[in-house]
Amino acid sequence: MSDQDAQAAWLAAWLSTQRDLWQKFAAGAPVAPPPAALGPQAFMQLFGATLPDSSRDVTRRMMEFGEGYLGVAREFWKVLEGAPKAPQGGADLARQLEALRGQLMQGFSGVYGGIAPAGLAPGSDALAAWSRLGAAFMPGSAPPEGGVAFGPTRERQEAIERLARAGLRYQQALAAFGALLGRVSSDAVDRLTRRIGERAAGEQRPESLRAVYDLWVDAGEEAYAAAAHAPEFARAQAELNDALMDLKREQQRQVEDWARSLDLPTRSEMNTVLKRVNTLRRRLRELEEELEQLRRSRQP
Amino acid sequence: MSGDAAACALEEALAYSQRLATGVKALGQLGEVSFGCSEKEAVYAEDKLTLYRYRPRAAAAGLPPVLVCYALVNRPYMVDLQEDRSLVRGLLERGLDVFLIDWGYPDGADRFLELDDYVNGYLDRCVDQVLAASGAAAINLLGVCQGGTFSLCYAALHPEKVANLIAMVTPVDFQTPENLLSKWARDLDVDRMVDTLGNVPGELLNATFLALMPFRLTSQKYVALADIVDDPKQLENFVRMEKWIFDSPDQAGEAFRQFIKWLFQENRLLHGRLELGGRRVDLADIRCPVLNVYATQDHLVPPSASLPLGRLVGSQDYSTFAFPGGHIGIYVSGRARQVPQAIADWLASRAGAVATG
Repeated sequence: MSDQDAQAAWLAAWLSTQRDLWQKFAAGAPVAPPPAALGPQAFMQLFGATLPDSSRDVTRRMMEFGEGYLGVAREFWKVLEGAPKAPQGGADLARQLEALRGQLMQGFSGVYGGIAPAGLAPGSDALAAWSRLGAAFMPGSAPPEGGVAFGPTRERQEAIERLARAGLRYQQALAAFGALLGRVSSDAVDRLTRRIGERAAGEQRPESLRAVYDLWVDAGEEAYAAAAHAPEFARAQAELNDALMDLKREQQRQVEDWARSLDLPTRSEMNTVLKRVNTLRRRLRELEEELEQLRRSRQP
Repeated sequence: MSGDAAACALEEALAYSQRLATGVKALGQLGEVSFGCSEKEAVYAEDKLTLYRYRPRAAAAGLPPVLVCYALVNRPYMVDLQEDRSLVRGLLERGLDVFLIDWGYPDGADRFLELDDYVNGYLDRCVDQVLAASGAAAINLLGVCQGGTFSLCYAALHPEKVANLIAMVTPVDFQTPENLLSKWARDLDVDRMVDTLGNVPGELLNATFLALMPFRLTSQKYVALADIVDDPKQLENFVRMEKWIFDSPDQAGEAFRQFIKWLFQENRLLHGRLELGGRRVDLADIRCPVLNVYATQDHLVPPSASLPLGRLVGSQDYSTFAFPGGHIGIYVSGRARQVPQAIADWLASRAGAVATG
């Protein structure tokens, strides 16, 4: 089977799974998430190399966010189902909206294991970038509690402890930042519910999944902007940065010690050399300029 | 939900799935997408930097050459992305002689490059090359975004080499209230960051830019991509833009440290306290004509960050051009054609004041 045929067969299987899933969902039957073998990651593993370089990342993102959208759309279905139908006010509307809000909160946390839907969470790209940066340096275990380093390997034990503590701090900072983003999603649900209430009052119920999604994006950006401009957000980001840098620095120290013990060049030595080269280059340019000025001054 | 409404929603979900599958297939068949459309040749190279000169596309307008100084944080082919979306082409078609600095991709050997190296070193040598190649007495300097800030510094420190200055989406006041990037940057321990990382990864910067509006710039954009999968031309444009967005060079560590600390955290350019190469950068020393091109819906460099330039420069000839769009739309939207026209008209109207050599 050619790559093209194999890809077409995979896409047909993916479509068929989506069709089954949605038909079951529409009929009110329980729905299981699509199998991992028919997910974006599996597709990229199987066919990523056959895609043009310039399209590869776009394809991955379209699949990830597209499938994320289809997942969230099942929650938006409830909005279409549960949005108040006629212009009304007072307790009835408030009750219906509260029920809708509760459903959305529960739905998001039930389906995705958190209020922020996977791939659709605010800042998930930034969080992933931080995680990738951190991943290479993560120690395997938590710091030993209350232990005192001793014996001939005392320094080594202390270094491992420092690394483990830095790893823990980084994970805590990552979790705190993630929790902050989770609160943004929760606020976004509140804002979405309010918007639907306002629309119900004006007889403008959203008529499609996509219309609800667009409302969700508007509500999400509003909620995110409110949080992101606050000092708490900048501090949480800064703590994440500081924690990650400390972790990386501990790792670098250990690698440098190891390299020195084998008489291998280290980053610190490279930095010293590079600084000297830069200083020499600047000095050389200054001298060249002085020489040029002298030459000009001697010309008749 | 009524039976009809449920059927409609089901149909919508299935149709979206189908479009997604169609999109994946279409992207696979698109072929490699090219970037940069105008012919150019390298006229100077130094370290990672290359200076290009574009081939003329119209009779010479007889104006000093235009040197485009782009930002370090993205690649400069944005100004010549494709035939119908090219600032450079727009300038060439109006008879201008256009040069462009490509800063390249810094690596570990460049980690100690400073802002002084970029402005008084690389940029100054490029200007000398442009002057030598064109025979002009002074250049028209067109700085874009961070490259605009560099150009302001350069014009203040080397006024004799700049005939006219165009600052495009250029930050001057780095601490205006709606500038989210600035709020985040102010809490950053940039010393710890640069001392640890050396060069700052482009991926991290890019993720930060996307995090300014995460619902729209990530999720919604790709969900909406399903709407254009039947149009190869639109799909190709989308892929080209994506390539540019994610093509983010790492940042030379020391220059990054200085830019964050001196500009975002201390706002030195605005307050006249920035020093490069031992000389104070005083924007009042810019006495050549200045055109400030800003985008009214710019979320990265809000108009409030650009507009203070007017009261800081020493020039008696200061103009603004307000582009109705955003930071990226100024190059690639349907209305972007206004920009080269506005720049060329502005330069032409100042032609009499400058000897072209």
